Amino acid sequence: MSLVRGRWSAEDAVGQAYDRAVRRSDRVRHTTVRRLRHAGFRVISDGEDHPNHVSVEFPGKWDDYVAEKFDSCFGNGAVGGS
Amino acid sequence: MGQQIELKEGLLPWDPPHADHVEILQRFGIPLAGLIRQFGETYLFWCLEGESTPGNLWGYVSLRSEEEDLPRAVSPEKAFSQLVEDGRQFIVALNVEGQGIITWKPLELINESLPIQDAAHQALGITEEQLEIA
Repeated sequence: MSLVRGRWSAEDAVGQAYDRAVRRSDRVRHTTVRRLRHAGFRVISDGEDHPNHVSVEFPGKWDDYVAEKFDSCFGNGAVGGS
Repeated sequence: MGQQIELKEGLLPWDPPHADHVEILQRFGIPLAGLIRQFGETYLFWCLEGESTPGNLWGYVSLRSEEEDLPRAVSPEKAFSQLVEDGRQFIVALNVEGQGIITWKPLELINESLPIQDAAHQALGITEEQLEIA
C-alpha cells in the first residue's frame, strides 16, 4: 500500500502522488506511523517514486481482516477535493 | 482515428500482450503512466481514475511519431487529455486488483464538456462507487 508522508490536503496529496489536479471524488485521510505500527504494519519511507512515498506492508496475507485493521488506523473523516 | 492497442484479460494494465517495449513515465507504488510499443505502434497509457482503489480505469491512446515526446513535455495527463479531446479514439479498460484487466472498450469523446472519466464510466457501465469495492 502506498501513502504520502505528511499532513496534506486532498489537492496537495494528489498533486504529489499522481501529478494531476484534484477531482471532486478525491479524498484524503490521515494516520500516524505509530498507529500503523501498533496495528502490526511495517511502515517504510522508501522515497521510491517520490520523496514522500511511504510503503505500508503487512507480514502475511492482506485479507479483509487486515484491510479493516488498516482502515481503523485512520480517523473517521476523509476530506474531499474541491 | 488511429490504431488501437491490443489488450488481454488478466494482464496488468502496463503489461499488455506482444509489447516490444514499455517505458514508465510516472509511478507511485505502481506504474501510473507510460509508453507501450506494440506491433510497431506507440501508445500512451494513463491511469484515468482509481489510483488507490481496488478497481481502476486506464486509458490507451496511439501516438504519432512526432507526438512521442509530448507526454514528457507536458505530463501524461495533459498529453492524454489533449489527444482525446481533439477527437482521437482511445481504449478505456477496467483493471481489478488481483484479477488484472477484465474488460475494455474503444471510446471517442463526442461531447467535449464531458470529463474523460465520466465518458469512461458510461462506456463501461460502471460507477465511481464500484471502483472502490471492485
